[in-house]
Amino acid sequence: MKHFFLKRILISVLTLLLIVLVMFILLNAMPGTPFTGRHLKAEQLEVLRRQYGLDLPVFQRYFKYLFNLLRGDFGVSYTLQKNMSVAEMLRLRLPLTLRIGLQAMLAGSLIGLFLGIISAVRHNTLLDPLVSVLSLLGSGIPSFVFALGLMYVLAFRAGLFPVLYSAETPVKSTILPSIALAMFPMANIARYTRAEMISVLSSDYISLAEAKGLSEGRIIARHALRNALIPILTVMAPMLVELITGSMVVENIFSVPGLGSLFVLSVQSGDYNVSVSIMFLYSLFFIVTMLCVDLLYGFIDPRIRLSRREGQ
Amino acid sequence: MWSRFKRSRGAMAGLFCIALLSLFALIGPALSPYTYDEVSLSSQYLPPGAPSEEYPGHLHFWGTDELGRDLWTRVWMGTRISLYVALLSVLIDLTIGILYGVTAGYYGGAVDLILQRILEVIQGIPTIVIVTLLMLVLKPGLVSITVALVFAGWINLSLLVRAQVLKLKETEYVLASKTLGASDLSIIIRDILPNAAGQIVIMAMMSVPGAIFLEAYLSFLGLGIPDPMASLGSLINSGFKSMLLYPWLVLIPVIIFVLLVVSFNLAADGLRDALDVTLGTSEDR
Repeated sequence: MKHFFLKRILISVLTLLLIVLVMFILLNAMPGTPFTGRHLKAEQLEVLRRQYGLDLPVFQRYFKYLFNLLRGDFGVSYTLQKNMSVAEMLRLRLPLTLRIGLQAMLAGSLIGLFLGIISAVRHNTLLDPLVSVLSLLGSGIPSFVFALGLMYVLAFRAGLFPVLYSAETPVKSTILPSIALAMFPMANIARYTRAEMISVLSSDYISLAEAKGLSEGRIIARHALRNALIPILTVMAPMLVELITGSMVVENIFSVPGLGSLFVLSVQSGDYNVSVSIMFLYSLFFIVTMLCVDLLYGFIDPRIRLSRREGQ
Repeated sequence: MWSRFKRSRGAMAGLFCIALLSLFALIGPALSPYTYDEVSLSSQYLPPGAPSEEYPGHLHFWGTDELGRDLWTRVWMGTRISLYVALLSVLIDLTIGILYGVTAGYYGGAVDLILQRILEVIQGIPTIVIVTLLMLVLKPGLVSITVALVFAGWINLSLLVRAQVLKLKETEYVLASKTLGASDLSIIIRDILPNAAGQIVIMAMMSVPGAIFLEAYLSFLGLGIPDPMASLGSLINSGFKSMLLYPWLVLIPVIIFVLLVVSFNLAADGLRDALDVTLGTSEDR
């Protein structure tokens, strides 16, 4: 058990180090330096290079970069907002992205769970194929299509929501992006919950619970759902990736001043330091969540713990 | 297996749709007198069904875009490119996956151990991050998009092939072949791969919509196919800019795109169900 935890944590740290290395190499390989286009004399350039530590050997600069990252120092922006610290830019935009992501995740999981449960319990009614079609569409249609549709129908035609993000109505403005992002988690969770619930509901201990005369609601909530929930953790990874990818596009569509739209902006304007910093943040977020899921997984389900140990 | 596949209505509908869309992707552009990059500034933003100015007697079935290019031709060209990029990248994934999976799974040992650790590290990075990084370094175009998609997709297939090989290696018929003195190569080609084929094909089929998806995202972000070439994603992206005034510019590519992705999902699901039953007896699942 301890071994498994340690191994997972070690791999996560290694992954992060690798990402930082790749970021560093990329930053060095990108054309242009912060000093290009300023018509500097060779001596001035030399002074500047020494000032920014660019005259040090590569590996020394790498470690400096790494330690700066650990301190939360991502360097400065080169083109978007000259010399503004990237950390400050991220700090300003992170809350909005987090808020939309969390809203989407929460709404998507709850509705998905609900849909999955009712379609499993009412397995032979019309509800079941309806939910199946819904989850097929939800996982087959990318979030930017949902975003475009919602924008056109609910914001432009019906006028219920602002078409673009506006700082005056921050709550209302985040609703449509959240819905667009929630479709994928909803569809996936509904599909997995349905499959898991159907197999759990036909197991012996549910028959026993029924024989004991427990009510249907109690059986579902206390006995079936608990066991069905574990495998649902497995869909976390694709859902997170989809959320991250989706946030870039959806934020762009609704002009939400979040991390995703900043990323797209920085990519398009070649502000590499901002791009790689956001990538680092996304990767960090992804790795930490996956680590938590894996640890939680091992914690909840003793079978995994045991089989992993046997596998060693 | 085919009969079981045929019984699933969704899967058949998916397959039919894929066939139809592929057919139009092939012949669609030829059905109109225009080329995908033919600019005509006198016929900007024509609505669907408008008569053509340059070619009397012909219509712009789906209207024209901001440069007067025929949308029908561009959408089918875009479908062609989206399909081409997705299928090509999955095919390359498949090749890499089989090579990797067989090496790591069959020969195992230290090589496998090291490769597994490397894969675990790469898997910790969200796909979009790797792919965007790549697109930043490479010049936008068909080749770099394909490379990026391969980068995103090869791991899943490799892991699947490896797992299959590991399992099949222990079967009695492999042992029998070994006792009869068959070489490693002949065991891999004649015993292991044919038995793993079903799972591999399903996985490959399931990766196709993912690749189409990812390509569309990249194009949507402006990192994809450069103008005047088009993919479904880049068409949606450029249509979106004038969506409120000319909705058909985004609506038509979106419909084709969704049809394509959903059909692939349906067909893959049907294929999995059809194969799973046969596997259900030999494999205790």
